[in-house]
Amino acid sequence: MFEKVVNYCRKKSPWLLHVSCGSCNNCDIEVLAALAPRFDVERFGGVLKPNPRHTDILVVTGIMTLKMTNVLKRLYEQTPDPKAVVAIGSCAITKGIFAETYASYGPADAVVPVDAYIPGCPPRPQAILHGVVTALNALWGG
Amino acid sequence: MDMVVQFGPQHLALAEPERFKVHTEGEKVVDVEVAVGYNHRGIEKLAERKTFEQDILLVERICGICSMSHPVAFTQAVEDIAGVDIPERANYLRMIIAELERIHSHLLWAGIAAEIIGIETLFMYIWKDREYVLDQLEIITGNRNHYAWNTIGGCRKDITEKHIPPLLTALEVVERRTEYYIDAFLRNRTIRARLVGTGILPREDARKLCTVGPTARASGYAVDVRKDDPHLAYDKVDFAEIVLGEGDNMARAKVRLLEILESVKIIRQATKAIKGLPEGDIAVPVAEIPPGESVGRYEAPRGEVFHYVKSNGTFYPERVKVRAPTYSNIQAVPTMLMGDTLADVPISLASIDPCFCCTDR
Amino acid sequence: MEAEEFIEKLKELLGRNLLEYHIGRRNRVFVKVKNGYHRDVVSWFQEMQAHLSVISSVDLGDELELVYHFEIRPLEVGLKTSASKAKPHIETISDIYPSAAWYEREAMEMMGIVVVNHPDPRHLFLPDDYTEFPLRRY
Repeated sequence: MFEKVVNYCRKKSPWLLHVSCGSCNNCDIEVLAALAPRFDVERFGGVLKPNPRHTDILVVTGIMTLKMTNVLKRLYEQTPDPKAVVAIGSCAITKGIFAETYASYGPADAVVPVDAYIPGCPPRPQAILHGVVTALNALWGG
Repeated sequence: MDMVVQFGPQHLALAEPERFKVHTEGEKVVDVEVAVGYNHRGIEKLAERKTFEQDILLVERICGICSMSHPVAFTQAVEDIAGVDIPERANYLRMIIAELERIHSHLLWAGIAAEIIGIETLFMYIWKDREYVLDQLEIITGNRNHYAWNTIGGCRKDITEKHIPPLLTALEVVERRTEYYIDAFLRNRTIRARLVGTGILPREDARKLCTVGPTARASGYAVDVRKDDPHLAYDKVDFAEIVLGEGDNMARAKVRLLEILESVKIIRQATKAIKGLPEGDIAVPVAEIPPGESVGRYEAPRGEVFHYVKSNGTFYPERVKVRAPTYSNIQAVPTMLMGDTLADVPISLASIDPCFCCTDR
Repeated sequence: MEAEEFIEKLKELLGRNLLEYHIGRRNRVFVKVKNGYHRDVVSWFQEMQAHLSVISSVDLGDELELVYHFEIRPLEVGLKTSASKAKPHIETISDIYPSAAWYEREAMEMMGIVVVNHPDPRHLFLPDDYTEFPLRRY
């Protein structure tokens, strides 16, 4: 019973930490556009926070570049449980058009465990909202 | 007492990862160490293993905001090697999409700058108006970014009669709102207190460090590839090159906002000009690329984009070298930050409009 | 300055050390000079207030080449100089053009060219422990 109340609160106010690990920045701009008034993720309770210790959801974009992978692992460890990781964009899911590059350790799920994938190059802000809401319902929903 | 503050790879102010170590004495900045490479994806090596046409899609994905800059510079270099002249209508089509991209990129920067200063309301207003431009780009090209508009020899799609009236209506709205934002930036006391007199880059340093784009023009160093090396159809339209002298953050903001108004003027002239050109004449076939080398330059929203392409006669390029504007401008950052307080560092960093994904490729 | 006039002045300055030149479309000019003489040309460019765009590195097979891209309005000049792969030593120009320092760092880590007298020869884009030269082809 207490679990249900807590999960309901978690689902209704996801605080996001956005980490770009070698992306072309288009997915990152679409994440910010999801905050803008036309698409407005704040009506679902989502805000972007700068500090991993305050957040529930890690939003990851990009291929995992050589220098940034360790940073992502440390940020993942610093985020308190329960947490979720959402991989946004083709690059985070399969490395996209950069599949054969020497400068990557793999897609996002080679580095951190991923809970939801939002495909697209870039995914539209509506797709990002749909993905985040679906992930929230799957993890903490009733 | 010397203290080191790290603006680490993950920071809310900068959407992309790079590391800046700022050495301060008290609140004053005395030294800045810049470490890049967190976004390095090895694109130049990948480009050698894909054909010229596939490389257009690869090069587009170097950057998500200036995603028309790299394909146009690349295709211009390849068209120079092949010795072809693309149809006049194709030049105007490329120019219309290029200037639309400049408008949405400068609006994006203005919103981010407002958010970094702390005025989140202005960020929300500006990004709402930016959506009108993205709507028009989506109607014309099919996507909000990564337009896939170019091919070697011209453009892939056309702008027809039915596209033009909604485009001109959207531009009227954008022009009116930009004038409101120029007024807000120039007269609002909080914004003036944060931007005027901070992050100063003197003209001599801007010239010595070979900075490009609005960063250079705000310091009085007049470089603009649209005027210096006329490409596309820029020599056929009438627009002003905005050059100011103060070199502080406010001057860089003014240059970008005034450039939006110039871009609206260019698009209006271009849409009138293509009415007289035959529809459908948008590309010439290019059968093969002979051995040779050339250079393609283009004025992106952030400055000069430079592509050096060398071909060896096969379907695959021998060497593709990409230099994005932030690669030059980021070397001016230590000069800009020296002597300012720690609170000015995020806005000064953002005022060069950094695109680290372009720098690192 | 027009392209032909530029080539004449370069021939006067360098004599036989100007190895080859090519004038392309739209004011693009490529010249190749012998290794060791590029600094004189760069100093002359600096007197003319030329703008350095970038320094590219190319793998020619048995030689490694550096191409310095300058803008001397209205020309777009590519100044090339090369050294053998066995001893790829080319002198720096970062004392004449400070922004060349970063471009030379990239050429060093990506292609393995050794830039002599460089003030800061660390890795720029690649991690510090990366030992291969990614852009070499042959």
